[in-house]
Amino acid sequence: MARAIVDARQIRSRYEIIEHTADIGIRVRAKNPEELFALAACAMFDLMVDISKVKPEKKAEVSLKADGFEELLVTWLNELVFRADVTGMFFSRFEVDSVTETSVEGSVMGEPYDAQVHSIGENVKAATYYQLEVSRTDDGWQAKVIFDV
Amino acid sequence: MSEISIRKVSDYIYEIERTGAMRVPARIYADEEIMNALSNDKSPQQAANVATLPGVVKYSLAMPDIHWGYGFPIGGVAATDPGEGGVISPGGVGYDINCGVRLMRTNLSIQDVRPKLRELVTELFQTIPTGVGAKGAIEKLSVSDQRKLIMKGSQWAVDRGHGNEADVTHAEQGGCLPHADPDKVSEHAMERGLAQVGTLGSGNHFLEVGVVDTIYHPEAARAFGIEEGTVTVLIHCGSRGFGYQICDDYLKVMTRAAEKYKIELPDRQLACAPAESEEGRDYAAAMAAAANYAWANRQVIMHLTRRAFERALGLSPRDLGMRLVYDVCHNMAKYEKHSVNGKERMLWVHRKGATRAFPPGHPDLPADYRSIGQPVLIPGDMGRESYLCVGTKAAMEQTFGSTCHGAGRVLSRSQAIKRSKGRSIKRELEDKNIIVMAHGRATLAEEMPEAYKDVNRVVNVMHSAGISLRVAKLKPVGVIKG
Repeated sequence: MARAIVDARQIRSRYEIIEHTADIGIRVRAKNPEELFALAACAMFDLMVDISKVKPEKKAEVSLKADGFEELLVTWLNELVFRADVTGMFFSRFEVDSVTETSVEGSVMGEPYDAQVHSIGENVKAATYYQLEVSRTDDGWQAKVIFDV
Repeated sequence: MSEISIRKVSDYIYEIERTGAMRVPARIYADEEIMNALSNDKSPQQAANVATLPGVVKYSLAMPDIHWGYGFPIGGVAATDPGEGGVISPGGVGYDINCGVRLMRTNLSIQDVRPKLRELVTELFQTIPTGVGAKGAIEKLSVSDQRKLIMKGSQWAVDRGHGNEADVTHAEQGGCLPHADPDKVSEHAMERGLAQVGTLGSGNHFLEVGVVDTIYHPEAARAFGIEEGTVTVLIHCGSRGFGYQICDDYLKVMTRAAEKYKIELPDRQLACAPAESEEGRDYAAAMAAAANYAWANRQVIMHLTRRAFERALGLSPRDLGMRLVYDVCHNMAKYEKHSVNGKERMLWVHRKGATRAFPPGHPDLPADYRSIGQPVLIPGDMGRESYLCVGTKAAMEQTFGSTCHGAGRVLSRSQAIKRSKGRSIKRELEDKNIIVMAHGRATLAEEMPEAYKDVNRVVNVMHSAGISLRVAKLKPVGVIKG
């Protein structure tokens, strides 16, 4: 296991946008599952807000279980969407301590939304299972997620 | 799945022949231009995927606003027969459960409003929370209040003083599905719902002040309370985070259920369970909870709109005369009676980006519309027309009483943003006498008129096919968005 930390720095160059007529998707590549999960979360928040302006001030722990890497990735992303929705926060720093096929442990950092400071992008309703992929590649891991926006 | 093959059945119907795992053919309502534009689109394949669902009846259908979705195509309609193992699928409803539209009419004419339009749109924008994190339209609910809301839908809002009884009777299903059960809703969903009642949300959701531009069907227009020049309001939104969470929760349940009941899925987002199974019934009860939440939400927004009009224009409620014409759902599975091969059957009709369009005489219509048919509300993009139409007998016979729900996107969001570079969409709309206010940096660009099909063409397909007939065309004059 390799702890991974991903934040706003150079995030735009670390994921690809997948074009979709009504919605939007991302593809991310990483060295290991921990980095993959951190990167996917950071990319998702980068779609939602200009995360370079979101200060990683408050921390929240996240510990989740699911059945397989794909369901786990959707569960992780949607838990963060849920937390953002109920706390009125955006997150910009993602620390993933461990990812197994059935669990993810980590923490996220961010601050409450401030309309004067934070420039809003897409309204991500949820990460979907449509064309969802988490796979090993020759030199690491990759994931593809389509969001309902 | 094998390559799909499409043949023209009539001027406005195209059929995807049954192949592979498809249990029935798929049919797309479209004209030639719409069909040509779909040649490289994934949505016809999605309509074919839906045709593989257990218990699907007659056809997997798609309306002319069909576009690429997840699971079902947007604009998809499919009915399943629970008596034959028919399934219910959260993927056939979507995350924004009971996303829908309500249309209100007023006593005002455009001349009354035009001189104070900017003040009115500003007042609406300040009164109705829109955009990310929108909350606080009304006091945050307690869990016990939210349980009542889940059981009562629109009526809950009216009982709390947000509207009147006539608002309830003019909503599809009276603004309440009876089988809602708060015990089938997760704590996460309950928590998300508490502060979001009365908020519009973001993306393609909007509130639009419009004016009746053309009447095509005077008798129906009279019954629906509008005439040329009448100022109207359209509200488009749904069940907010409450519904998204319920969909997400139940997709997991349904993935397990599909394995348990040995249902082969061409797309994981189509996860489903037999409607009569425990998992199916639980989803139906949770979906109904979200449906009722959405109705209460639109009811509260409608009432906030009334107050904003009264303040901005200095009118009494009586002078304003804002009344609900109708409220329709776009994303829903409804348990309805339909005739299949001459026999009456109870079916789960999934409408994913499609509108119910019941005919004159249908017992589910409010008494004052029963001889006319169900009002169908079809918003266009924010720069173009919206339509008020009416359901028909042909809809009942061909499309399980369903029609299109909007214009349908043609451009992806990033394509729209690219096209808008160097332009001010707000200014372009103002040049057309439409005042627009929005929060998001990208909302106006992504939602620009060119990102959508021409709603006139979409509505024309369903009118010409005899499924939903034009009653009136509305033109936007003011829009607020997230």
